[in-house]
Amino acid sequence: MFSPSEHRHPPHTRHRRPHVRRPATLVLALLWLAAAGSAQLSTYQTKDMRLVWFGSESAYLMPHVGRCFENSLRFHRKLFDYTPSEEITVFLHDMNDYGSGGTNSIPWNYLNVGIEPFDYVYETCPTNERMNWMMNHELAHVVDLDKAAPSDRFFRSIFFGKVAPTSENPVSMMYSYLTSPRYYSSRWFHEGIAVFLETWMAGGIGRTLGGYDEMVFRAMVRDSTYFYDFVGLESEGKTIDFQVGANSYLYGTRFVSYLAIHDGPEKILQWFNRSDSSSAYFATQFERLYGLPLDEAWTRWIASEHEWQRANLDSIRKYPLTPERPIVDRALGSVSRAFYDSSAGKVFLAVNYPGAIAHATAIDLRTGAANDLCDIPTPTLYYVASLAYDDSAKSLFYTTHNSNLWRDLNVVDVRTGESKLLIKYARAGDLAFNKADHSLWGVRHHNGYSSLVRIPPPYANVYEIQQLEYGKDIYDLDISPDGTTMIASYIQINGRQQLVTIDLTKLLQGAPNVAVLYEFENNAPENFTFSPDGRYLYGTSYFTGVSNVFRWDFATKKMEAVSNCETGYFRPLCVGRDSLLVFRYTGSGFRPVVIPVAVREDLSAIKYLGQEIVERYPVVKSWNVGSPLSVNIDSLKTYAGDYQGFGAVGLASIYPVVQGYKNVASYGFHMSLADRIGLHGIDATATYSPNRDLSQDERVHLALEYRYWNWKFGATYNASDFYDLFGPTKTSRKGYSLSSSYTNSLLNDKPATLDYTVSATGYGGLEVLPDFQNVSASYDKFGIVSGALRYKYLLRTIGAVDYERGFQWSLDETNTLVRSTLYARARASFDVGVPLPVDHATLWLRSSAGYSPGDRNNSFANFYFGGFGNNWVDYQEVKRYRSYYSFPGTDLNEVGGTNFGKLMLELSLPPARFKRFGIPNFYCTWSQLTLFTAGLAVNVDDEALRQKLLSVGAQADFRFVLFTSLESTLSLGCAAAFERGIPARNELMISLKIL
Amino acid sequence: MTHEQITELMHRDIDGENSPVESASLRQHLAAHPDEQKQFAELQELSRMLASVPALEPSQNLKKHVMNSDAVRSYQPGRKGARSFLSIFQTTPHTSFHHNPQEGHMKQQHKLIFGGIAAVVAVVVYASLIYPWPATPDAVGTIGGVKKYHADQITDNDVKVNNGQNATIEPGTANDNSVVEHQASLFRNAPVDRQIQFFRAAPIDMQASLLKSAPLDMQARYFRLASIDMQAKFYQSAPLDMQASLLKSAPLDMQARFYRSAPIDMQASLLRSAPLDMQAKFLKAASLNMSAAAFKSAPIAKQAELFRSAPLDMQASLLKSAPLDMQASLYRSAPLDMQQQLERTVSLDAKQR
Repeated sequence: MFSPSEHRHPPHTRHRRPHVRRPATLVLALLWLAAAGSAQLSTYQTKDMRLVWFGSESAYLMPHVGRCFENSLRFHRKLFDYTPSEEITVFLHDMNDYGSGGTNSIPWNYLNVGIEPFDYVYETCPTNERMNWMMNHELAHVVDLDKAAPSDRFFRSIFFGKVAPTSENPVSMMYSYLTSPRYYSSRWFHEGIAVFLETWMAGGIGRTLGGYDEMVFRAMVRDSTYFYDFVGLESEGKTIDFQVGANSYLYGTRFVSYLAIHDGPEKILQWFNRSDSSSAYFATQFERLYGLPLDEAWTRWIASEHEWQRANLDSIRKYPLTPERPIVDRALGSVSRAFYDSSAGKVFLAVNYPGAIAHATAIDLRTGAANDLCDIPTPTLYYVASLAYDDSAKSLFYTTHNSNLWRDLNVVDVRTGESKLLIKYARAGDLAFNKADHSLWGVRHHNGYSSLVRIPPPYANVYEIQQLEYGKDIYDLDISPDGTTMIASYIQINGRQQLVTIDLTKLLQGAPNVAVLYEFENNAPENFTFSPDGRYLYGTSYFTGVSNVFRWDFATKKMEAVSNCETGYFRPLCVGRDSLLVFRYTGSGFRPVVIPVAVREDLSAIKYLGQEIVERYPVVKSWNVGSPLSVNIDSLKTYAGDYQGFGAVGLASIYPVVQGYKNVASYGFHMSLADRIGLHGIDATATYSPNRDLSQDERVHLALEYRYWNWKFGATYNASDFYDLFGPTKTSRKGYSLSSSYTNSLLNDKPATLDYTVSATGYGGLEVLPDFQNVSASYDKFGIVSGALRYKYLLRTIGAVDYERGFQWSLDETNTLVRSTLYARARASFDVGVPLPVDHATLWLRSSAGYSPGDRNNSFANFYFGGFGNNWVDYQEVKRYRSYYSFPGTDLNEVGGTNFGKLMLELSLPPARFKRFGIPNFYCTWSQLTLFTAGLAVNVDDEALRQKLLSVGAQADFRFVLFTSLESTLSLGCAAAFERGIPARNELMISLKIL
Repeated sequence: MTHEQITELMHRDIDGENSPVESASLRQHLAAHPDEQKQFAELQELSRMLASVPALEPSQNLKKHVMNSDAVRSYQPGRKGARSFLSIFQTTPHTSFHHNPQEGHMKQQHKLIFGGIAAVVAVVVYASLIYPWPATPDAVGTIGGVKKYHADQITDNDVKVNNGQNATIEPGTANDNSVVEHQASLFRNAPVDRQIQFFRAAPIDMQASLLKSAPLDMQARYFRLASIDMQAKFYQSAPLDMQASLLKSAPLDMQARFYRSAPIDMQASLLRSAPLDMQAKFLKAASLNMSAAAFKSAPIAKQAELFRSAPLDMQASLLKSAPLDMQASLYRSAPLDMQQQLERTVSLDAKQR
């Protein structure tokens, strides 16, 4: 929930699961809106809700979303005795192809809702109507984060609101905790209660009562996998596992369920409820309530989980297990649907596992040898990408932008590995290939609807064939070998899932037809595909509680079980008359194995932990939130119309700050204002330095910044900075400045992005240059107009702490106008990184060059270099040695010239992750060592003034987490610089980056 | 007491069913009969043994095991020499429990065997007919379904979005064209009764727009709901074929009303395109001047038809207003009985011609 990245699975998957979102992601949403053209935002308001959406297309959802919101809030009010501290803003958008949800409460209560249907792979997502359950889930977060005890309310009144932590003023972290202490609880804590409640509020549909969660922990017990403790979960468990952030949901839900069984669900509510008598810190509150420390309870849960799963495993083992032959010697992480080429004996699929970029691959069934085909740079959790295969053309179709933005359709030739983009923004997935006419079929998500679409050769256009009613969905398509029949899993609004057939001929003639073939009671039919002869369908279901393979016989019209697995089998694929390739779930991902086709007559059902809760404590049945139609939304309306961004700007907070100006401290206040969705932001700081060493005209320090969409305007007077209290880098400056800048994207096709920024700043009364503290300004009034263009194509794997592959370049032009003389400086840089054979180790080559035609004796015409650049206490980029102006080993701004060339070779070693290194409130998650060597030449055109230097150094970074979500980095660096004729210089650097 | 009675007492004693008198009587008898005392001791031992054997849950596949056993498979009713499974229920004719001390023991054994078989049969019947097998009708064998609490869920009717599907249609308030078009689209997809409801509540300009875009069958309905002014307005802007269609389905008084309100040239063109019976009605409803004007503007061939279908008084007035040459032509084309009637009303000149 606190991840800065989009999280699509409702708490489990990329799928977009709801979570708390940091402002960075909101910025992305705003950039999207800006790119869409104009801010045609509409709003519908009630006393507690401000629903905002873009354009008119998604307006149709408004009344239903509003009803779901009010219905759910009514429930939470009663259950937690909760009154929102302010209205809750709900922002609807269609940024991505799959639904998503996220919550924040600082400074405002805010829900970010992606309106598209979710993806339901492996039953990791509830299938009932999504706005209903999303509101149930997200508002649970709001209650959890926003509800205040008397102390919280006291500090909110002092600071005029909930303080958002900012790196510019780190003291804000403390204020933030005082105003919203529960915001700083572990992510598993928040997700645990939200998932727990969403299940009972929806009458049993939710992950508390799901086969996937049960399977994860059953597999861990079976394989004797390490169970993270609740510190290790945050530091390692949610970053290196193939399920990444989903671990927070899994562990949180499981632990909460365990507590519910042993101490009752009401006690859990007491734990989560920020009542007047509760403790601020969630772990302290736990100990008060349950009478034992949280980590002890966690240990007991792990023991109990082992016992529970052993009983389930014994139940499964009552009947013979399916024998299997592994294809490869490792699990493959997340896997897509697979396709078998019998002539080549190969299976084609997409995989994503820690240490490698997600990619499509071909695996030889006999030898297990893998031949990688192409990268899939934007995979989604669990199923990577949607694939389809044309055996006649040896073409593998695949989708990109699977986790963010709108999907593209691509194709790769499996013989040559050549791939190409077919359709940009196809917005379609769940691909199925029709061998009869070579068309592709898929499911498109657009404006909140699911539609069956057809893409005929040459695969240049997407044709919508049938749009489903809102709230219904269809997935896992396959087409019979003769091209006449489609099968799919079909979801109703009430969450029922059915295996259906569709006559394609009739459908193409304009007669939509969906016929139910089979229904597993209260369980999904998943991954069903035709056998090569069309006689059977093979798929999986959690019918017994374990995902086993089932076969539908068209002749006998019977569904038969054909496997008995301890963990779970998925995605069966015929690879012979009597063999199936399936993917068995393991803790490291899905492992391909071959099993025989053998009808099983006896399978034992396991028990769900969630079922134990409802049997022991039927009170959870009364937590059903009921129909949203019970809300008369029209009677609650207070306003409907255009969203007036500036009119909605309000005071977010005011708090005292301490800053540094030159070598003295200054004291004052910082004020933040913003509108409810962050379109407008105003920050103002005013401090005073009482030190008599400063002249009168330097004692007052002011800073003002206004942000709107892509614009930023600023003004400073004797600018001060918190980090100047520590140095050695100082950014405080005597004088005044007025600035404006504009940033936008020319390309946002992640991982490829091309951004530009243009800015103009006027300075007056300066003593030193704005960018170079040790260089005097020859004139105190001047203006700078600059532009920058930056392109990035950078990739990282699961478990990485930095980018591991790719390249980036930038072009910068700075023009300084001083007394009608223009000093231009142009600079370019290019970086390229290649991964090494060791996981997460990368070799980077970073280069930059710059030129200025100005007078070499004028400081405005020179570039300056020197030092690591990090402050003792800092907030900027940790690896500052990568910046063009850094040259570790020398002093800051020691080396200068009107032109330069710089080359750096950097070796990033694999990070060391810590399972548990610290205490719950403060722990270290990882550390990484990088080695570098750089060469710099300045004034290349003048032999007399030319300087050539060499730097060799290393930097070690340690990432810490304070209060579970405030990340800080401690960096230690050392470097030596060499120059002919000058003794070697060295530098030691220690820096703590806050936030 | 007979041996049978003693044996009965033994069993009852072991089962704790004897009265104190009966138990005393038994003890007294056994004390005097060592053989029977030995038998009693054996029965007690057997009872203790049976009590110490743990109860076994019958296999869920017991039925299959039993039915798949050789005994059942090889059972051939009526075939000589085949050992029948059921033969164990038959007592051999030479066996008697009555005259041999061993007979009592064998009888007891048979009872136990019979009891065991009966128990097996009972279990099989229970397992196959009564035991709650998994709900899935197509399940083969025993495929246990996981237990999952599942309450009633919201349905399609609980999800109301602002489009044709489960529409919550509200009269539009915006003047924006895209909103109107969007609402028209919603409108078309809504159930008919909702469309009617909506139409009634919609502002005039929206009604007009909806009328224009509605299918023909719905147009008549809307038309009837609309005010007279709206009807006239709509009619004026509607294409001719639509007008004709509307009029066809409209009640006569509405047709007449509208016709009267339509401009002359429109009436004329309506006449031309309308079926004959409707034309006559129009003429009847129209004022005489209008009728005359309409008549005048109609093609000659049509005029004859119109004349023939017009009521007598109208025919007279039509004749009166028609040019002389037309009058003659009309008169000549009229049936005889009509001519006779007309004679009474038309001018002398016309008659003379």
